[in-house]
Amino acid sequence: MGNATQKLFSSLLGKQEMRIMMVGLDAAGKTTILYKLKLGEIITTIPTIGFNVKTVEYKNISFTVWDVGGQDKNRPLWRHYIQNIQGLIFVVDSNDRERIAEAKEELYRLISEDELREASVLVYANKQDLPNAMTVAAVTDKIGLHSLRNREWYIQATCATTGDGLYEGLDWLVCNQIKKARN
Amino acid sequence: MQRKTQRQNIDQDQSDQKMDDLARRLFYLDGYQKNEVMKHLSKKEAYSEKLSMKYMEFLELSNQSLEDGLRLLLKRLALLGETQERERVLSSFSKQFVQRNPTFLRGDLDATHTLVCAIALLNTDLNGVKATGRRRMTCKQFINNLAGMGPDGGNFPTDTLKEIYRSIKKKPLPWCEEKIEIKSRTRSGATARAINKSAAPKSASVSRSQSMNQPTRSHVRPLPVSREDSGVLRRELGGGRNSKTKTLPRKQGVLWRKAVVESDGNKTAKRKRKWKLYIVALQGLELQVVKKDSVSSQISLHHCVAEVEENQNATKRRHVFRITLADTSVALYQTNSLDEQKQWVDCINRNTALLSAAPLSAGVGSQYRFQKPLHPSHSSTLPVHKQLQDQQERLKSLYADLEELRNEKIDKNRSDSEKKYREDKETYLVWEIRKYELYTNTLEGLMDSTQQRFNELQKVVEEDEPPDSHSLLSVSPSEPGSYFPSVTENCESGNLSSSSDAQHHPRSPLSPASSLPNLIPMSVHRFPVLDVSSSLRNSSSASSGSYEPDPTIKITPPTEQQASANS
Repeated sequence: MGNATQKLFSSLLGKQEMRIMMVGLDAAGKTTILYKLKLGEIITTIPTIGFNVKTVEYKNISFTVWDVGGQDKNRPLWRHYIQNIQGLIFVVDSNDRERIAEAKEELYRLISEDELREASVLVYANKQDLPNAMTVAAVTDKIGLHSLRNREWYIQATCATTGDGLYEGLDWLVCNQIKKARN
Repeated sequence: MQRKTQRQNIDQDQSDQKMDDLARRLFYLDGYQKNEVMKHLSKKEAYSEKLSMKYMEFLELSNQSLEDGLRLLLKRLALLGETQERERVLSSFSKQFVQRNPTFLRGDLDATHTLVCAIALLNTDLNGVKATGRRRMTCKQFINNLAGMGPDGGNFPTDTLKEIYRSIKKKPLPWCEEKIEIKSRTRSGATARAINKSAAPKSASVSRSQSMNQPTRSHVRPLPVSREDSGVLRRELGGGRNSKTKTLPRKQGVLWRKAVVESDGNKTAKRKRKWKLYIVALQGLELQVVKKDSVSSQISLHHCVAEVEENQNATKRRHVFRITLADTSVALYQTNSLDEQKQWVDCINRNTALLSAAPLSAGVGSQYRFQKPLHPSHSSTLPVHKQLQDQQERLKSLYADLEELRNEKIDKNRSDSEKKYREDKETYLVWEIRKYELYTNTLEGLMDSTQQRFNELQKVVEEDEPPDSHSLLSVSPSEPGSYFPSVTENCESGNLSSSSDAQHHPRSPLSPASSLPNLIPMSVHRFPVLDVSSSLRNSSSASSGSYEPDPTIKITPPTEQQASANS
């Protein structure tokens, strides 16, 4: 990966933009992840009133990450922004055993949506630093990833507060995107 | 912590009067700041919802347009936090708006709320940082996007939407200025600390990280730290790492450095593969590399391996050691003597063996590929013997995995991806085994030398048993710093050896189990390098770095002479 990916990607397609939507239940860690990905700019950017949207440059690809949340009935609002979404990042709080079923429901509802037909699914099993966190295997099981058909998916253990695992996950998204572009 | 207790206290007294009072104080910012309001209103619980409704009652929303009403609200509070949290507060606002303007959108609450969120989103789009390669939303797109979401499943009145679009484009929603001020204040850790100190002079002696973590102890309201700020703040103040890091010695010196292999396993590009001179400083798991022109970068050494570079022909340089990081990138470092080389390697391996946290499970995906477990960058908090135990178990399972892999029957018709999987896994296992062998050896060395020292100490105490045992104990044996020479002079706790400190230090921590977690990192590293340091004393010009053994420290343990001198 890494440099090779970058070279390959830039030679194949030039500078690319990838649209990503980030979803997850409350307090799963989406906002922390978003800010962590921006790292150096946390202090300098003055956020705009509205919702969390960030562009992250990584390996010649600019990721526009939409922190989509809130009520179902307002989800159509995001239509305009998430057209042709290529990647869906779903953030799960690995420590919250009570709401993991709710998280699963949310994930399935999302991927059944038309706009997300083509999207690869990256799951961040977040908060792995907490002592009682479920393992990646347990989370995979609980949200039923193995039963996903015709869909590229990947689940990554992360700890958003230290940033561990975030870029490893993005790496997968990038590689996957290249493969798709080739075909 | 404070938020929780505060909430609990509030929960205890549910009377409406109290709630009214709190809502009023939040609204008029009596004792609260704009960016503190949000956390009271945005919780997903009945109390918070009720409170936010009360709060909204203070807004003068009658006969206002929706966007102007929103402006009134945003002048009062900083809309922070998660999308869900923001939406909850905006939901209360919408309810209040409909109550005050019952004819607006035929009184449809859902439609109003949708429109409020749409305005917030539009504001981000029109006035936020522009994403590369994307255009700002046009008025037509705005109208189209809201199609079918209006009152009773119909459309919103086009005029209203046009009006809103024009208004937001012309005049962005206000972002509360107070927030910006605070951000710039927290930007320098020094100022934040100064504020804290002046607020609570008593807590000035508390360690930095502690005073930042519990700012509420001070008499003045805590420095507001929003979620996004706190990480930065912690980083800046260096309180992010656990306290174990602080007891570890630092080491620094001027070294030549050359990157050889990148994280993707490829050779570093030729133009980057050059020897350059850097100031290199090791502290805990972090290696700070500073260039001449003061451009500094932090390298996280978690799960790395430092080793003496044997192949001198390849490097064409002497006294070189290599560091292989967790991401498999490799860099060479040249020191100016054999001793320095050994010290660096020992120091780095000791720190990483002690502080590398247990790996997290590897990613799982729909494709058949070997994924490496994730090596977390945060420091392990385990005491030394637990850390060793943990690593020994890991090593055992790695051996088992490797054996299993090698004994597996190989199908001749296996696919390429399968071959690749096996190859990757084997490479990984072999490397991990090598790494953990090194770690466990290092830690065992540490444990042994501690045990040895403990035995010696006990022997001294038993043999002497002077009438006044306290005076003996406070002289030296309980003081690791005075007992063995210090390798690193700028180690924070290195001045333990001074006699004034010795008196404050708890005497004779003679139980190894109890003293292990804190004492070992300090005392142990001195042991393995004992011989090195004594030999170094003669070659004074050996090091350009920090190593300068303290001439006042005697290596010889306290003997009968000392005891007799006491008596």
